Amino acid sequence: MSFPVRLPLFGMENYISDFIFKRFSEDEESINYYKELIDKYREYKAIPSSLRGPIFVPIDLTYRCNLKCSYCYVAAPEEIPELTTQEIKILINDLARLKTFGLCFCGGEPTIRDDFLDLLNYAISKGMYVNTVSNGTNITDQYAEKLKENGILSVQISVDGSTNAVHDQLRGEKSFDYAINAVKSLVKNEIPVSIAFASTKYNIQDFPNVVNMAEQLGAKWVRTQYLVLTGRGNMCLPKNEDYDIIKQFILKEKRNPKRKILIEFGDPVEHIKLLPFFPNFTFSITPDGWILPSPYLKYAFGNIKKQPIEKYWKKGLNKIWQNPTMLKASREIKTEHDFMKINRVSAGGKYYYTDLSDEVVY
Amino acid sequence: MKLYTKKEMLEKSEKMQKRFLSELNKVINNEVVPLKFNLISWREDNEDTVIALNPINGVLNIMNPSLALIFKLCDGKKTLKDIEDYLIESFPDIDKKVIQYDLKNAMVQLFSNAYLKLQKSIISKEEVFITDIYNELAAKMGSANGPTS
Repeated sequence: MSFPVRLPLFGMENYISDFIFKRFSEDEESINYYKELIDKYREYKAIPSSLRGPIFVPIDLTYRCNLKCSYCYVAAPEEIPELTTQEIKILINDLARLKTFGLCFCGGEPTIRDDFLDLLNYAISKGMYVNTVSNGTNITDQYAEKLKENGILSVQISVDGSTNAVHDQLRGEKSFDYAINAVKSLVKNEIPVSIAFASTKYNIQDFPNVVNMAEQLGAKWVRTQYLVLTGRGNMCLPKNEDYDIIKQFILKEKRNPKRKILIEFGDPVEHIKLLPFFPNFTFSITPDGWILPSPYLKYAFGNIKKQPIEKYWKKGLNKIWQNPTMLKASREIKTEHDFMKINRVSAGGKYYYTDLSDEVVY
Repeated sequence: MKLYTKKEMLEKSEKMQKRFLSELNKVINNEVVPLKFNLISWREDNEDTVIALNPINGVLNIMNPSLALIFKLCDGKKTLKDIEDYLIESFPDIDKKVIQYDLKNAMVQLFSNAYLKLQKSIISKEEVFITDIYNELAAKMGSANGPTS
């Protein structure tokens, strides 16, 4: 009998939060340390070579949006042919058969779809939990009640400033009032709320005020991260010194005994560096059915309109991070600036996907 | 601003474990029954592992075969002694002390990740959650964030 071993995958934050100034993705020493740790886990048989199915799957229900934020990493709003209600239900069925634990309904603005509550209800009935992300514009008291009735686990609302002036200049007129009212409605209905703050050069100084405001409103978490340079984010990049200031603030507040809200600073590159060490446990789905190993890279592994997800899973999606193209990307990407070097853009300025499943012999 | 080295982080973590274990022991000695926390998503996976996710805090764990077995045995009916006896019988080649040590560690890991809750006895439905102990520890240590912060 070997020693029982615990494997913290999403628990990495607990281990590296105190190294916040030294980016994990750029720090060979930390990566090597992690490799050693993983080898130890393998020795204790805590990492199988593949999993029977994904654990968590974000589904972008749409790239339509009623706002047009300049830094949106999917460049929403965008009209593309979307999966039908029936196609998404079939996907949910397939994921339930693979014993997937949970889904996130993302976008665009996911609540813009008329079938949002129907899909939520359907996924819950299949035994999965569902989170969603929203700009809050559609979440009134009545809508929050329906979310609660249908069993949503938590909702993330985008709040990019502590005042109308800061928030609305980035996200559009009156969007601040909508977002704050959404947070209030969700809290009133006892739905856990997290706040996502997109750090740009225009609002990053306001982050501490957003944290204070979120805490007063009853949100559970506030999260920000390095701004990802896909979509239209290029003009909004904060300076490194600005990031350092909010990271200082987060470190200080993590040790503040009076703080109730959890504050996180994320690194969008971290999963690209870490996932090659593991059997694959996640992927995301685009509104038109592409299966993406990482939402930030324009590599796909098939499209659910062509084949059911179960087939892709068994034919290589379960080990996608051992695919040579993904391994190369993982090696080469050091920061979010490198996404632009790898992602392919057509002559018309649109991104398109390289389908890695074409490389697989069925 | 103090930045911890890896060594300091490990020491800090060990101190937490010890403190936590002593709290857990108090509960264990009171003849509690470990049972799975009903909000946890878990499944048996390839190569005899178990994957468990606490959807509240997002912490995901893969349990190796031995931890997975212990987790599956926590059915709300067996006491820790019952589980220990079962393991001793199932693994006759392993020293009893090693099994007892492993079992204690398994309880710490499962309970501290909120995969298990504890019931004061099979008859009593009074339950102990990890949050109760976090709050108690946090109050002692003067921190609102609890031992995992």
